[in-house]
Amino acid sequence: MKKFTVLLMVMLMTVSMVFANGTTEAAPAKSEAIKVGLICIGDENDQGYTYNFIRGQKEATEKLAAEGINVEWVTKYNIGEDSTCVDANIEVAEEDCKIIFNNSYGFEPFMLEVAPNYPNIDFVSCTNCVSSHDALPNTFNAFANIYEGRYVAGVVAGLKLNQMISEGKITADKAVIGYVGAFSFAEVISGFTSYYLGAKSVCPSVTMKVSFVGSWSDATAEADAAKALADQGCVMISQHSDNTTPATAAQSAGIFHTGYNNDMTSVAPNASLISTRIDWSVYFYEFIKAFVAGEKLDQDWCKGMEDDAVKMTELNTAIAAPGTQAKMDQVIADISSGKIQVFDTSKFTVKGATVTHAFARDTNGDFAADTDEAVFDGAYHESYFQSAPYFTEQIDGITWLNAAY
Amino acid sequence: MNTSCAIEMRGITKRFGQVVANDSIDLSIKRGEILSLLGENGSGKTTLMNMLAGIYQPDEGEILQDGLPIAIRSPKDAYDHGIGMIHQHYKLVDVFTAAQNIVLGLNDQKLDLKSINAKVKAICDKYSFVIDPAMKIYDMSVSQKQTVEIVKVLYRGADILILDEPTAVLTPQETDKLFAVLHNMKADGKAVIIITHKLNEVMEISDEVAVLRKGKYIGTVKTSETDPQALTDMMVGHAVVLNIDRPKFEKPVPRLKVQGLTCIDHEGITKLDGVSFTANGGEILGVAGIAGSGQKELLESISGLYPVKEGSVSFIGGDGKAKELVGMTPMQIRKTGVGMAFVPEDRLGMGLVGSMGMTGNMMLRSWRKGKGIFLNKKSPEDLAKKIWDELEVVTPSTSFPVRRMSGGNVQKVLVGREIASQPKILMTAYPVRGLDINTSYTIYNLLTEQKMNGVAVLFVGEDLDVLLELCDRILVLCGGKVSGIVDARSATKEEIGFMMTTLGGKENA
Amino acid sequence: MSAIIALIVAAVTFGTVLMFGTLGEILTEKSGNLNLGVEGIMYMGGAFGLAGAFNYEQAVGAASSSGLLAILIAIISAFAAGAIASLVYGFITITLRANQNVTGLALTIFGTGVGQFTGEFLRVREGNFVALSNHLKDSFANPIMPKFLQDIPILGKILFSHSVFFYIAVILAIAMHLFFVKTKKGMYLRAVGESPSTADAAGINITLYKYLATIIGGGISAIGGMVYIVTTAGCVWNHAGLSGVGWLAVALVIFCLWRPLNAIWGSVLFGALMIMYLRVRIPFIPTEIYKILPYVVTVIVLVFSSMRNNKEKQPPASLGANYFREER
Repeated sequence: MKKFTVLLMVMLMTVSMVFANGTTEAAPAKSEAIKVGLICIGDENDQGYTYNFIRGQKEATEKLAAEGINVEWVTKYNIGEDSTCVDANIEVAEEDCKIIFNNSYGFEPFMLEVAPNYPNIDFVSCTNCVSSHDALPNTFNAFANIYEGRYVAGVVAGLKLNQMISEGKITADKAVIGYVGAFSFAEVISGFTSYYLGAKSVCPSVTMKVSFVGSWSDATAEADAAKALADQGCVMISQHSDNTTPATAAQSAGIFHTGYNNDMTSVAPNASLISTRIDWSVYFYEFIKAFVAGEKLDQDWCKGMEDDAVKMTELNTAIAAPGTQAKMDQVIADISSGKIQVFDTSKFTVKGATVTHAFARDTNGDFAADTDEAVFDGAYHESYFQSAPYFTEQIDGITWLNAAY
Repeated sequence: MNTSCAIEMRGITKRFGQVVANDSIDLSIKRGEILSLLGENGSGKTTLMNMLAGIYQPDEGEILQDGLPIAIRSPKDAYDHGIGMIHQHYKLVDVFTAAQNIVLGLNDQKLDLKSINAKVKAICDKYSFVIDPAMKIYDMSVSQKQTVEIVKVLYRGADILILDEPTAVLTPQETDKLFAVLHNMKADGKAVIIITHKLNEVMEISDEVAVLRKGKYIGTVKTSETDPQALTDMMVGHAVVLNIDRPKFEKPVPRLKVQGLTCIDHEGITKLDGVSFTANGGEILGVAGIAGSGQKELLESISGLYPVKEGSVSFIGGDGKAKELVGMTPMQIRKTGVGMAFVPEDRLGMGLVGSMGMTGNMMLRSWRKGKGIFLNKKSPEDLAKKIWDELEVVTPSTSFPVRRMSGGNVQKVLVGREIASQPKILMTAYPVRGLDINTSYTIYNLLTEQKMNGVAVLFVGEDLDVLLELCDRILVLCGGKVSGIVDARSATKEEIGFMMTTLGGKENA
Repeated sequence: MSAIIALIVAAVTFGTVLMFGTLGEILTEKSGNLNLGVEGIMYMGGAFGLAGAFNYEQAVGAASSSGLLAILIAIISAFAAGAIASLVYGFITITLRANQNVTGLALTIFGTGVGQFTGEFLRVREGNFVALSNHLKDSFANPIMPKFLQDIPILGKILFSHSVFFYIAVILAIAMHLFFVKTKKGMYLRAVGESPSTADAAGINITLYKYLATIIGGGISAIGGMVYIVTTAGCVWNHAGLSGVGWLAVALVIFCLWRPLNAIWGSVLFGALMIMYLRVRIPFIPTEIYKILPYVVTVIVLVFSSMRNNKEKQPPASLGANYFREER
């Protein structure tokens, strides 16, 4: 009897562990439904990266439903960037999903292990770049011109800095931005460079310091990094990381902040000016609609502010400099029309020289770009050759405080 | 000197399960007197005193103080009645100072170092011993720790002091110092009880001696009116006939030669002092002695488990050649082909693994015989089954955990395993302690069987009656030294009892 | 120079969190109980402490909330959460005599779950970040010492620019030290932890002392979790930020050699080690090394203290062992 109980307990525990690998959620089945999978690195609770995807998921579903397409989602949460991702992809595929979106950069290699075995299912790796160029027709990449949003945020920041200079709070040379970055690769570099350029376009004396924390989400490290930057004289904080702690740290230090992925004005009303985010509903809507119509989207998809793929959150008018909203709208319009090129090569230098040449893509996997000339028509064309950012130049005016990871 | 009765114990009985530790004991303790409480192991001395100290409660009987019955339910109660006990294993906090230990638990006083030190000094001066209240316990010698314990008791105002085997760990000089202190206390009108079995000290220090035997009270005599022989007689009683079969082996050959064996424990106390004897194959050599006379160290040092300071232990094989065993680990001893088996006193601690079954415990001896890294389970399983059958071990299966078996069956498993290895030397320590009559006889027969197969058997036991009927010769240890080796068929119980308490026995009395 | 001062000030912020965790655990361990559930307790403290203040604010409205009252409510809520969790631990190990390590680890898992559940529950209910208003935030996190003290060169920033919790922690550390060394009850508690049989024979109530030490110790540790949320995490519930902090506190207990006064500078040291990689750059040391430094330092301390065999620097002798009066 005792052995039986032990056996029963072991079986129960094994079974429950199978389900412990991320939870699934399935909407009730309707007729004419298309099943789509979404595999997430976090869950809504992060109020950041994955939350953003969930919002996109909801909005896209509503929009498609209004057009008569009923989407049934199978969502997996809290999947690690490791072999559990392989299992997640397989499980979702086995549930007859026709499309599977993987939402994190680090999912791609694992997703690509599963994709060949399900040639009739489309696998999408968001924010990464290998799928669009591999031999498989059912793998895709997608990203958005987030650098545009960052540029606009930079403009808002720059205007605030101008206000601080004109009010005598800081001198022109003390207009220093502190950036809390995650890792030192292209996506992050592209982000903070465009942010810097946006600020510089209105505040010529601005400089920037970047601190890398080595993780997409580490609340304590981000808070400490923001504080360290503040201690070193930064008066504006921005971030490429998931927590709200840089915002609250900025407020504690009495300086200002712009955010990412979500509106942070509610937690730091005295500091957070605005945030920028990708609106994934645009992509989801396009992709699913095309699929239902029997068409395929581009294997590499990237759109910008023009198509509403990149959005700004609501401006915190209580603390923003006067005239910010108007200027913002202007800049957005100019970017959309192409009048402003974010990475205009006349606007920045690397080691004192203008950039005339840079390769965009890395085709042989050695993490050094080797094809596709990105510099033409007087600007570095980011996200032109592939959706995932590839800007890695370290431009003058930006100092790296540590180089991590 | 006021010698009125401080405490009177009447008809005290205490049982632990089936065992009757104290059987209707009467005892009077007088003020201004030193009383020795004398008896063999298991006679019930410590149990009786623990009831005065509030650690146990009597099942029957009563305790009277100054004629009025009292109840002592905890050590605190005992102190309230002026009774304080100094245990064999000191109850001190190592990292505290002497002063802190002395006042530990006294709620009604403030922690004022000055007044504490003053009071301690007053006590020390009165009875003339010396301690430094600010000294840490871990820096103290054993004798100093004992002094702290005594002061602790006096500080709480005890009038009746009980000391349990106080001289067990003291050097002769320290013993003298202690006795001087005790004299001072007696002069001060305090009642002192010493639990001991060292006859010479009893003669030296006490005014009266009370003797217990096997839980019963035998009597109290004035020290001035008795002598060690009479006391021994009271302690061991008359011989009891047991009817154990004792055949004689024709030609015993020497198997184990021990010469000048000396061992010192980790606290620096000499446990064995120049022990020499020869154990012969075909003979059961009994080892008698009061507990703590060195029996444990003797068996363990022979089997390689205890460090040997001096001396030699040699095994004489079938070819007559001697092999020196001192300095080898048990594994090495086994590898050299010396067949030695040891049934230790601590059955479930040292001898068997409690949570394993019979088979698992058989494997403890033979685990190296498996192929490569795998265990060979078959032969231990067969052996377990064999023992199960032959010795009639009561257990549901060979995988039933041994710690859940009754004591007798545990011993059968242990002895069975050791015998199965077909040793040339078989050593057993208190093999029938706690066993019922039938199982005890089974064990005696097993040992006798081994003896008739030519094995040299060493039997450490405490029951003199058994030793006299089972063994061929008896070696008596006293304080780590050999007090004498006698022929069991002709020795008397009194003789052996005497040798146990006095080195050299009658000749040195 | 100012960089070093800034480093110290930032280290203190995180160090305060550790100090509470460590002081609580020191108290528990002095009684012989090894409570490995500190991680879970701190999570619970963080969640319940914030929940207490948050609900208070919702109840009276942001405008009329009193900073002082909010702090008190947060402390009490956090303490209560930690105390109850430790009561469970105490019951299982003291009365039921289960293995302390296993129970403590179970408490870690349980406490982390409860804490995260509570935080997320609140967040889902609010539909947004669980955060306190600016006004309360300032009360919790801002320096409380008057400006003129803060302006003293060098020392001003180092000593006087911290939140109220740092000062509470320091006072608590000093109080604990005095308790252990100068009071009778403190001495009895130490006796319980060193040699329960001796204390028992002296008439001390072992069970009572162990329970009280465990419960109060757990409550104090939980306050640490709350302090994290209201200082480092900016009064916003964060579900992953506390991870690892409890273990750091356990390591710090060993580093401090079970002495409360050591916890004051020890916690600042650990805090500094955690954030050094952001402020101090030695070229040839990879960033990852900085983050394991606190643990490496603890191991070194353990090795040295065992080697030197100094009796004063050992853990309480009966740490981790359950006590029961043996009956023959």
